[in-house]
Amino acid sequence: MRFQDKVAVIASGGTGAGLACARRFLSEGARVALYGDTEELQKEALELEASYPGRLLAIRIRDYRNREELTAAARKALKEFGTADILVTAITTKPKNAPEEDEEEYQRILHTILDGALYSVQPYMDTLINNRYGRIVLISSLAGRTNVPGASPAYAAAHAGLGGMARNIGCTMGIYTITANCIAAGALEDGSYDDCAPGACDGRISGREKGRLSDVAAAVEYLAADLASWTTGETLDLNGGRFMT
Amino acid sequence: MKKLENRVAVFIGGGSAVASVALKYFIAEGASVLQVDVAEPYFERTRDIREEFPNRIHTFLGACTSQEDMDQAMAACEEQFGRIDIVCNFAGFHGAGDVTSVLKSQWDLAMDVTCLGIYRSTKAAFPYLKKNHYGRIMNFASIGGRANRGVSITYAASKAAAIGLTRSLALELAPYGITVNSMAPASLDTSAFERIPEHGSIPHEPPKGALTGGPGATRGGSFIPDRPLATLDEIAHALIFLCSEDSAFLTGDCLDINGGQFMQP
Amino acid sequence: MRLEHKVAAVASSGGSIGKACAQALLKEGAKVILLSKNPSDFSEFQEKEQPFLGLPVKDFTDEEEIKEKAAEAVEAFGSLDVIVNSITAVPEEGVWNEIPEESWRETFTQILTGNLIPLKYLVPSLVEKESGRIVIVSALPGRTGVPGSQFAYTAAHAGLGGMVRNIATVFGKHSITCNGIAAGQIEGQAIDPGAEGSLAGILKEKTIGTAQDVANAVLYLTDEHAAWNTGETLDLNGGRYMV
Repeated sequence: MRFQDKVAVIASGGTGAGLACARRFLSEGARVALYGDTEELQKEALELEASYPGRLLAIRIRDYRNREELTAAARKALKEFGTADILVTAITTKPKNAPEEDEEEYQRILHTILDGALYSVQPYMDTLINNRYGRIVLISSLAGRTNVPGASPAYAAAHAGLGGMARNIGCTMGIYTITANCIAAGALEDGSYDDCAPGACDGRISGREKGRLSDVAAAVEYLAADLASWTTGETLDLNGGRFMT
Repeated sequence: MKKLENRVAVFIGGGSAVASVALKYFIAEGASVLQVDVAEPYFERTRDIREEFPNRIHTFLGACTSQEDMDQAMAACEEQFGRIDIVCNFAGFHGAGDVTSVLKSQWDLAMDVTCLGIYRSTKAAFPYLKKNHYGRIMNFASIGGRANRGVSITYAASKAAAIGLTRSLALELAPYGITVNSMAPASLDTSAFERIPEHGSIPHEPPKGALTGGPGATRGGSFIPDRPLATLDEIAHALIFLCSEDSAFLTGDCLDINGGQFMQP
Repeated sequence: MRLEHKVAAVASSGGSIGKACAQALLKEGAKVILLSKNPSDFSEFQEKEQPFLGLPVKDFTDEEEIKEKAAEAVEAFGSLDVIVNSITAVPEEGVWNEIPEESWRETFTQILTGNLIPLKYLVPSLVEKESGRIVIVSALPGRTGVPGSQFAYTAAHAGLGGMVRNIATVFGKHSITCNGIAAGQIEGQAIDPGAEGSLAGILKEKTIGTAQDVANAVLYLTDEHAAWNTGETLDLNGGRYMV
């Protein structure tokens, strides 16, 4: 039970990676607050709740751009569990008509991905600061790291922004022994993080051209552990060898 | 569930302080380990744990500067443990000097140990990893190869070369289900270990542009208060990740572990 | 004439880049010494009409030879202001674990040690002047994974990045800057044959760069106004690799 006494908050939107993280943390003894934006995710969460009674709080989020909603969600989670240690954001969205997106779509992409991460994390900062402990992991896309054929500009910009956010939080919150890191995911089995031409983001490892959602959860586990205390402001490139820097 | 259950790892440079601490973690996670190093005194550091787990930790004398030694080490591992899953390349040579004062002999040695040693051990282990269509290769690099640090030029260039080699080998071995990654820590807390002078090193001054203030001194300071150095436990944690099934989708990457001293976009 | 009154040494293993850099620096008013492994490089220059000296080199890893040539270079027009390295080697093609050790060692050494030795003997001249510009030209495979690129070539070019950063860090206090240019596929410059087809850029009318492109980047980095650029590796690859 590697996360026995920990509380993890996972904000999941547009991907199955959040649920995979929730499963992982629950199986390692943590209590988990899982934000989800679809009925499907709610359903899966309720099933999980049955396997881990009292340890999973599922919260439905209608719009990751809504600051009030995310603040209220945090209040609810803090009330239920009393504290928070680990914050994971796995919030993304598929661009609708890249690369010719209109202003509305552009704003939607940018705000969902960037504001979603920021507003999910912000309400917990006082708690982490008081505790002098925190592990923040922002999951982003390979498209934010390098040129990916077919990717929407707004999508690339927003995901790149998550890297900047992680570095900034790492710098400014280090004094409270809070770490913040980013994972840049390539082609995953549910296609959630690759907004690109088909196959253009695939990894090179034989038998693992697409990453599994459990691979993302494993990388999150690595960064969220107590012993990851010396890793901060880093972007971990999780892409099966598609991009190496 | 243990992360390295029934896995067999070869530690090249297994007598180093980092490897000595990592050994405890590998054993705890269920692995067996062949420690390879150039001289017996290095193995003294891990005498206790070896006595506790005589069937799961063996030693072998060999140098990564010799292809023959590496071939023999891997053959010995296969013979003694029945398989190879993981190769951790810890061996490195610091060397001395800046670009104007460096001795070619020191330069050549640094390249041979720190960079080309990785190639030799990988080449030697390849047939055994290929058999199982599985492998984890971890190359211990350094922030010295990545960022502005007042280290010797031998160290900076050989560590950077090791990181480049990591990417190349990652591409070559991907079709065989083998991942290859490196890690680039900043300064480590090895205070618990007595220093064993490196084979072939010469006494030297740190390069003229180097910062004063001990091993923790750096221009981009760590953002974590009262913490100038990484602990070897923190390093071991990253090693477990890189060497386990948890990192199946990670290859050709270099993990930074530096308390925020260097953040690559 | 951005480099009037400046003295520049260019060390080249003989490809199009070294020669183009020497030409570009001359054009900007510098006095130029070209150390090259390719004797036919020198025919482009009129030593009598231009402030130019051509010095043939057999082996950049030979300390005795290079020490001598470096002394000649510094003597030619006085202390140096600029050093540009464009030194590489063509690796043997083959399966990564089947290439003979002598072959990959030679590739690795000619690239890494081949860049080190001329710098070892030329940099003191910059230190004397308490100012200078160093540019090390390397190849794209040193920066990222390029399928087909030979491992020794890749590792050596990556090592050049470490060299750039180290020299920048250690010699900054002498007001010497050191930067790198990691070039993609350049016309007239030999590439790693295994990587053929994996290096082209994405610009429609220009998938391959020219030696002049690299020379332009060298002029940028050696400019008087580039005093705040140091320790950087400029990726010049037509969009093949972006980070």
